[in-house]
Amino acid sequence: MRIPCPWCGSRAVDEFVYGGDASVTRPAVTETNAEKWLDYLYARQNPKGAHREFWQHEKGCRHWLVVERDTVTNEIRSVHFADEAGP
Amino acid sequence: MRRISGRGDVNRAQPLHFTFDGRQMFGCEGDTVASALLANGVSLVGRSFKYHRPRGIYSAGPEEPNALVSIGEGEHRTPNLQATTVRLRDGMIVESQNRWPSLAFDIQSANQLLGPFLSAGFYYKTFMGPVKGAWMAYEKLIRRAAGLGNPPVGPSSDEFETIHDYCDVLVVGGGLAGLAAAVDAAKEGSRVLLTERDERLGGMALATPAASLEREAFSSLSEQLDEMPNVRVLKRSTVFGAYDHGVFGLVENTDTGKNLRVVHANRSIMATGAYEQPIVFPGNDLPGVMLASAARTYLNRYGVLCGQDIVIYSTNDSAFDVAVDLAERAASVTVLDTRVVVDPFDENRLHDAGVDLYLGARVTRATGARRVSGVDAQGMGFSGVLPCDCLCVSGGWSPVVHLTSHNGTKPVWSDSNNAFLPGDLDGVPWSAVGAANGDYRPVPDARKVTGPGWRTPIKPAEPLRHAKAFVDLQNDVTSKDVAQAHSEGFSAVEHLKRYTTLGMGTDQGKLSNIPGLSLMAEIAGKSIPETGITTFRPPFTPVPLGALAGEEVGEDFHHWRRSPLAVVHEEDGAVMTVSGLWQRAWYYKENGATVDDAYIREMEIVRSHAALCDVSTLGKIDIEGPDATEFLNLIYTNGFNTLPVGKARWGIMLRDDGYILDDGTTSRIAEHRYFMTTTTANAGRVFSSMESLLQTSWTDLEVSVTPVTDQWAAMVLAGPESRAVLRKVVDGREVNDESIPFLAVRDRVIAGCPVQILRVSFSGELSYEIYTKAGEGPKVWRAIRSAGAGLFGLEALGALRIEKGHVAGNELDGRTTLSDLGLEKVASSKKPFVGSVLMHRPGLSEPGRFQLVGLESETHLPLGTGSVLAIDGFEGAGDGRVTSATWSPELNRHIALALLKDGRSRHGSVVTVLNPARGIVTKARVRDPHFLDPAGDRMHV
Repeated sequence: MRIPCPWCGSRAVDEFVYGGDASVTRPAVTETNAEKWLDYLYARQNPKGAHREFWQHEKGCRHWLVVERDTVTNEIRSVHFADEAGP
Repeated sequence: MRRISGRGDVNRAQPLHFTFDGRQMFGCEGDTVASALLANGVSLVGRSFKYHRPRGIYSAGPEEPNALVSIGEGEHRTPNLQATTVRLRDGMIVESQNRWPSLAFDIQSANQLLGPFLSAGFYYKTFMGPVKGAWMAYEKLIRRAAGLGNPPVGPSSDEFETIHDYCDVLVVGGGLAGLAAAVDAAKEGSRVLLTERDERLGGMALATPAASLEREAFSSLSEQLDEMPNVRVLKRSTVFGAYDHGVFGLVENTDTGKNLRVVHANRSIMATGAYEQPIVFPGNDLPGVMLASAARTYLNRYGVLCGQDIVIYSTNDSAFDVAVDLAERAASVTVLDTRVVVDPFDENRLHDAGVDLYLGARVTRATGARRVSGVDAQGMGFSGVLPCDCLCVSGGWSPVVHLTSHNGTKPVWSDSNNAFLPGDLDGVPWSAVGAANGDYRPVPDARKVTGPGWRTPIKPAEPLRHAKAFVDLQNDVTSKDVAQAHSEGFSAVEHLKRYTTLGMGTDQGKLSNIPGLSLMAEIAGKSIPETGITTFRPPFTPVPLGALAGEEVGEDFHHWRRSPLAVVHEEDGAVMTVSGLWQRAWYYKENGATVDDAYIREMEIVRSHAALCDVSTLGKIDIEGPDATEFLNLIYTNGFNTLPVGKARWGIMLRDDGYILDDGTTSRIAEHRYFMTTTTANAGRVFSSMESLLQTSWTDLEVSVTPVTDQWAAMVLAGPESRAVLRKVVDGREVNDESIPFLAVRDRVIAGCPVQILRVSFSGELSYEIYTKAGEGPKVWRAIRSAGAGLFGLEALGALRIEKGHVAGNELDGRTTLSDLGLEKVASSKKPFVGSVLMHRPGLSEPGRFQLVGLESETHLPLGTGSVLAIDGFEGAGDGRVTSATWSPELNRHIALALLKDGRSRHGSVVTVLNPARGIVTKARVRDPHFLDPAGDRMHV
């Protein structure tokens, strides 16, 4: 697999580390409801098909990325920096 | 069956000596082991997997199911190599497999007589059935009786390397189709990588005679290719896997070993060719039975004639070329064709070549003992026995669709091709060309009338349910087994494979999948596409584990990290040890001959004088930005917003789930700048977690984090005399409790080098951490040494902190909480922080959890790390565990930190300590973990 890093270009997957599901949103730091934290940590959809996920270009620019990947075909539909708005 | 003159490309002027089962033999340069064995008159090369039947050489390539041999001797012997793909080398030692006591007389061939009992599912039914323990009893016997070669006992002598390779166009296969594709792609200006399994390009053209149309086409393409600087050719290289996004795995054979190449290609062209398929009939596994194309290859490429009286049993036109070539040299050639009509052109040329052709024929069995000696055949106008010493079969052609299927694309059945072709490769920048795509003849013979030609049905000549008609030669699966699988309900192809083992093994059914599923289709009364095909997965051919490991073996298994102070450890006579990836100074020879002597002496020096220890391995992170304070306040459980510039604070971080992530000290260097240290073990984890939070969640915080572990050398100067030592070396500034108070961070100069001094204590003594530029570390270290500091290593460092009751990596193992370690007070209740909500989950503080305690041995026996604790009797996993243990010179006894069930309420009681690994059972008294100076007077002087 290869991932097109918006900073470094298309690179081998070995340079990246998977960083979890990007479709869940981290609760605000002031959130005190334990259920919401448990949902954020453990509740996953595990979809077949399109999936938004975090990858870090760990052995490259170290950017965290949001990658939209098809879990069946590994087709990568979009990539953007995690700290910027996506498509 | 000997080498004949005037044929073949091998170099007869260059004879190569080799042995087969100890017999001296000669081959030629250019031979494979198989062609050399055939040239030496060897027809029997191995015994079969299950029935120990005599087997010979069946093919001339990587589809070979039978001719598996061991090569080499001693610990460098490699088993299960295909004689048909290994290039012969001078001095090679070749041995047959799965025979005892000898190949010619194999005692276990009596298994053949047990044939009726060893049918599909025999093992499951017999040994996994009602008699419990039967498998346990018989496994050893069966494992010895069945199987292939023995594994090597030592490390491989091959050299392995991993290489990343890049190209615009990857062409897999150097036959005519591949060469033509490479030339076309190169003309467009692409960087082309052409790979070929064989040591020579040409593919099936090499099986044709010297003056053939194919050879002409090959010469012309080779010449064009040679002129193209943008084409690279890798021979002796097999692509074994196709992965997503144009990534391919390839094993390249070199003269000294094997390279694993990971090829990244923008586009790829599969020119992988096709395999000629066998025909299933009783006795089809006898030595002397082989694929027709293989006999042609041995003749035209290697100059070896596989028989004198040759029968060719075929279903398609490809065998006619074979017959014509063989007829030039063999005494007699007879073609038995299953079809009732063939192209008149072919009939004429066979007649001209002196070949007898029988149409509408079928072979009912091949006969012979250790080699085929005749066939029973019948057909239009004849019936009888044909004596022969070689039986060539051609059951049609099946494209090599393995690689195009590795991404999950199923091959599709083509009625017009009578074969499975690569599936829909939409969305993948791949294409398949030539025989791999069902176009078998790159250079059509213009004289031929167009007809089905090579594309003939690959179904068996007739439904067979015979115990000696082999569908899978490598796994000894017969047509009777397939019929039995159907009658027992295992008719889906994936079930058929697993129930009978058809298509398993080192050849992965390259010659058995198609006959097997077409036989199943026949028996089940279905079409082949309805029956389907099993899934192809990497690897296409076996990949040695050594090639996958590459250079990452032995001491290169992982990289080593050396402290910037490594050079002084050498000077100081340190004994080094491995801690994670780091090489660390364990103890110093000047303090004792063994680690046990030395670390106790080193602890005494720290407790009564002053000594230096290298702590450069600590994780170090630079944190800068207007929101740095707020950031730290969010990731540490304790407050950081009141920390003044020039001061440091010890803190703990949790994970989101409420468990402890790490501890460390962070100093405020300037208003918006901090210097964080983490434990050695968790440095990477802490930094990654910080990056993740800042880039994925708290994106509005203006903070920049930079790992600076390698930029700093760090050392600890500890002991009651450490201030006096420091005073001698610090340039031009006072060193006292006022100028550097506890938890202060100060910029100073030592030996002309700027340093950052941090007054913290891990050992419980008056102590300073001194940070300096990595390159200046040795200079600063030597200066402090010269001022009278002793030395202590990792072992003493650990022992000192155990005496002090400080937790470290062994206690912060990802399973402990603040309350487990008695550190609830470190969590602020006035602010949110990572883990602040879930740390209050009831399960993380409920009774019965293991809590940190100190243990004092009640005996002279040590309390080994990892020992299990028992409060009353020993039950289950015990009531706790020893996390860190040492001898304490201070208490003059063995002590330990431990996690004990409800430990804080058990102070004063005695527990049993079991160390089964060291055979120690002892008693220890539970106590507070702070063995030494609980008030902290020593470090606050």
